[in-house]
Order: sequence, then structure tokens, then C-alpha cells
Amino acid sequence: MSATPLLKVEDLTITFHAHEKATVAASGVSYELNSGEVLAVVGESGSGKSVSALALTQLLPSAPTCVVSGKINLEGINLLSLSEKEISRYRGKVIAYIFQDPGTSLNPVYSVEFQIAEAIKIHRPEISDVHAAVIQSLNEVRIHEPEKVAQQYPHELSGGMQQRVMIAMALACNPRILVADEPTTALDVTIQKEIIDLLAHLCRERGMSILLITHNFGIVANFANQVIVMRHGKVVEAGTAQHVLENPTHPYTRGLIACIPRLGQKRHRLTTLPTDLS
Amino acid sequence: MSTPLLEVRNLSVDYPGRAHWFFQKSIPKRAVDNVSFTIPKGKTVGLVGESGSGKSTTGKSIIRLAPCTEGQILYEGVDIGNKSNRDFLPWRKKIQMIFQDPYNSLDPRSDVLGILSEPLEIHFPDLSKADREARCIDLLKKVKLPSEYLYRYPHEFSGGQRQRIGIARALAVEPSLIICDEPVSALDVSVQAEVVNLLQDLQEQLQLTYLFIAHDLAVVEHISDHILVMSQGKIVEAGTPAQILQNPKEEYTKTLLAAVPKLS
Ligand SMILES: Nc1ncnc2c1ncn2[C@@H]1O[C@H](COP(=O)(O)OP(=O)(O)OP(=O)(O)O)[C@@H](O)[C@H]1O
Ligand SMILES: Nc1ncnc2c1ncn2[C@@H]1O[C@H](COP(=O)(O)OP(=O)(O)OP(=O)(O)O)[C@@H](O)[C@H]1O
Ligand SMILES: [Mg+2]
Ligand SMILES: [Mg+2]
Repeated sequence: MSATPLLKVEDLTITFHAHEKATVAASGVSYELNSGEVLAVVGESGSGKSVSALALTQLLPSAPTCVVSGKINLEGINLLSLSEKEISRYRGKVIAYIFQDPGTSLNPVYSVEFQIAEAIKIHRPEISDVHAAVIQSLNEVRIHEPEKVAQQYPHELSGGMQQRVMIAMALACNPRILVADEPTTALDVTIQKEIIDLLAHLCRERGMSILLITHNFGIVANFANQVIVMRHGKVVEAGTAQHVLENPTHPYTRGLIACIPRLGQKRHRLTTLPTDLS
Repeated sequence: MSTPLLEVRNLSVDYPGRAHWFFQKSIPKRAVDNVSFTIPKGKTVGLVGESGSGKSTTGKSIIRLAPCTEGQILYEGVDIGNKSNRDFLPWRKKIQMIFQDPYNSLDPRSDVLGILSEPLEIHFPDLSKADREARCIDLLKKVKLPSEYLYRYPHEFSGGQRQRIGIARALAVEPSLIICDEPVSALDVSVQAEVVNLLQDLQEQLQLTYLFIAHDLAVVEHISDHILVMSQGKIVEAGTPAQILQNPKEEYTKTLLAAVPKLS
């Protein structure tokens, strides 16, 4: 496989200053994302997965509340050194997000159609029939009755429908890099599979790259090329997905894989991490 | 046979539609259609089904966040579905919900102490301020969060941390029935296992009863005594975890099982 790194993150460190103390949310994080590939980020809750991804387009609170250092290299440009005006040109068009928090992407006062149409008009001005494109994007994410859902407002949608609308909005930007932060947590396995297949298809067809934050190892195994494992703000293990899943070297990764509940193996208690680890 | 803790009888829920410029009169949307099930005290009923099938709506109607358009909701034999809001008050404390969306369900202007204290102030007005705070710290411990988080605000937390605060809040008033709407979907597998074990420990200690809505079939299989499968507002299949998972009758249940991602 021809692997050219599109995005190169080096020594990314993120510190929050609040409540009279400094919290290091990410420390020395480095990874490479190749064109047309999927890099999965797994790890403990609170380990810095989301904040590391938000830092890519300077979406974190500004200094002094939050201090970010390191390099984020995209085709020779350090994204961290860009001004607000310059980086805003990257948001959506080059790097689009499916946020973990639906409230960050969905505006409660606008209909679904209005919000997706907005993204299409900005990022794909060549499209003339915007309504048709909106309906098509809802179809792509397997929304039933897209004409009807297009007229609805976010609070009228179920959790899984909200999540798919966010995915449709991010894809409507036709980005080169998609950051997907827990994109399928609210979806049942059948739709989850269809969404993942859709994303894989877009990687192949459009050469889109995906930074996928997930705690679902099934998705990592079936979909990711590379994987990094995070813990306490640090990358503790990295490699190809197959290698990390089959031969985890760090005890934390091993513990994590042992925690995965498996269908048809009903036990009295679920396995947790040994206490000296957690 | 003793009365179950919860019995839902022929429940239907309509959401009011918006008036359409052409049709003029609004057409209500039926989100839950003639659903019946029971949950015995101290047991867990798992609720699975496709997205938009009415799972959250079913849960919400039990605590009146969605209307009970038709049918009855019986708590220890008393119909609470058709009571006025005022008459419902005694049940507010007994039935709690852990919400699917941990972002919208926490007040952004309140720190964790405020979020956890509020229900305590309402339902245990006799507690002193110090006792209340001690309880809040204890609740954080239960969901594996350090006590210093008491003074943080929701936006300062990761997704999984926020979900655990939602769980702590539901536990605060010592309910008998908890409606768990995707309580562990936002959690990594290690925290997920801890929270599921915690819910089971609490169930044993306090005889808690759960309606457990989730997508992860392995988790549902693990925690449930009985499973319901919903599709398009109706319950299409019901049985023990073994019956549902080893011998599914409905086409939807079969596709659901076939789509579970395999590890290798
Ligand atoms: N605005 C903020 N102010 C202060 N601390 C923050 C802020 N945002 C995040 N944090 C802290 O930074 C750490 C990393 O958070 P992050 O959201 O990246 O975790 P995560 O790995 O995405 O976890 P999860 O799987 O639970 O979503 C957490 O301990 C969190 O409490
Ligand atoms: N406030 C509302 N107004 C109008 N329609 C609504 C409202 N809330 C939910 N609905 C509709 O009711 C149906 C059932 O929604 P519900 O949230 O119960 O689904 P769910 O089974 O929980 O799905 P998910 O797994 O995606 O969370 C959906 O079609 C949804 O669009
Ligand atoms: Mg996160
Ligand atoms: Mg729901």
C-alpha cells in the first residue's frame, strides 16, 4: 500500500489552566495519518482523544485557559501557527468533524434541511439542486423518509437520527480529512455497519482520510488501517490495527481488549482492568 | 403471582406534528404503538431495536417526558400514566432516568456539586449542607470520578466523564426504578465494564429495577433477565436473552445479530 503521510502530528501537548491548577490533557502525542487511510484512536475515557482532535483546527478555548504546543503538519504547513482567519478556511473543507457532542454541530433553531444545505452551499458551490443533494445525503446515511426528516428540528429526532444527520453534514463538506469522534455510539449494529461501509467507500472513492475516535474494537478490527492507544494523555501503543489487536504489548492495551464484552459468553461479572492499571 | 414493579399496558405515544401549510391541520406522529410489558421488582428488562423505533420515547413516557396518549403505566399496580403532574410528584423520586445524550441533560451553568445537590435538596430537604456534599462525593466515587471534580462544569469533561455524572445524578435520590437510556454507549470498554458491574452491584444491594435501553447486544445479553425487541413503535419479539440471541424469530433480530462486528 502506498502510504504518504497527509497529516503529521508531532509532540502535541495540551494543558488546561482552570481552578488554580494546570491539567495536562494530552502530552507528547505524535502520529501520522495517510491519504485514503483510517487511523483509529482508542483509549480510556478522559485520556485526551477528543481534545487532541479538536486541536487540529484550533477548536479549543484560547490561551491562557488552554495552551497547545507541538506541530500539526499538513502538506508543509503547521496548522498550529495559522491565524484564526487562515485556519477557518481549513475547517469543513479540508478537515470536517463529526463531533462527539451533537449540540456542537446541530443548531436547535434550524431545520435539518437548512443545516445540511448550508454546508453544501459553502463547500460545494458547484451543486445547483441543493434540495436534491440534501435528500441524497440523508439517504446515504440511511435515514428513512428523508423528505420528512429534512423538515424536522434536531429535538424531534431520536439519538441515532441526530448522529446520522451530523454525519451527513460533515460529508456534505466533501473534506479531505474526516475527524469522526465516536460517530456510531447511538446506532444499532445494522446501521452502524452501513455507515462504516459508507465511510470506507468514501475513503476509496474520494481518497478521504479518517481520524476515527472509537471505543468499539469491532470497528477498529474491521475498518482501521492504523491504531493508536491513548492513556492519561499519552500514546502508549501504536501500529497497524491487526498487529495491535493480535499482539498488544502494553499491559493497558491487553487489559482493554480483555474488557470487551462478547456475545454468547454471559458471565456473572464483566472483566474490568486490574486495579494496579486503572 | 405478585404485582410487578412496573407494568406497561397497551401504551401508545403520539408526538404532536407541526401544522403543514398545505394540510393545515397537524398530523400527530405515533412513536410508540400499543406496547405492553412488565418488569418484576429487582429485575432488568433490556430494550433493543433500530434507531427511531421508539425506545427512548417508551422510557420517557414512564417519567412523563413524553405523553401517554393511550394505555396505562402501572407502578406497583397504580396507574401513574394518567395522573396529573401534581399527583405524579411522589413517583418522581422513585423513578429516575439516565439520558442517552449526556450533553443536553446536564445544566451547563451549574457545577457538578450543583447538579448532584439539586435533586437532593428537593427530595431530602432535611439533609445539612455538609451531609449533602458528603453524599455528592460518595456518588462521584461510585462512578469512579475523583472528588475534586465536584467544582467543575459540564463543558470541562470528556464525553464518558459527563455520562458518569448523569449516572451519579440518577442514583442521588435512591430511586427504585431506573430507566437507563444507552447508559454506557459513550464509555470505553473498561469504564463500561465498571459501570455495568456497578449497576448490577447496586441492583443486588438495593433491589433496583432497570429498564435498560442499549445497542450493544453483548451488554444487553449480560445484564438483562428479559429482552424486548422494538421496531417501528411496536414490540416485535420478547424473551429471555438465550431465546432471543440463540433462536431469534424475527427477521430484524436476525439481521441485528448478523451485523455484530467480529474481532478477528
Ligand atoms: N474545557 C476543558 N477544561 C478543562 N479540562 C478539560 C476541558 N476539556 C477537556 N478537559 C479534560 O481533558 C481531559 C481529556 O478530555 P477528552 O475530552 O479529550 O477525553 P476523551 O479521551 O475524549 O474521553 P471520552 O472517551 O470520555 O470522550 C479530561 O480529563 C477532561 O476532563
Ligand atoms: N419531540 C419529538 N417530536 C416529534 N417527533 C419525535 C420527538 N421525539 C422523537 N420523535 C420521533 O419519534 C420516533 C421515535 O424516537 P425515539 O427517540 O423514541 O427513538 P429511539 O428508538 O430511542 O432511537 P435511537 O436508537 O436512535 O435513540 C422517531 O421517529 C423520532 O423522530
Ligand atoms: Mg471524547
Ligand atoms: Mg433513543
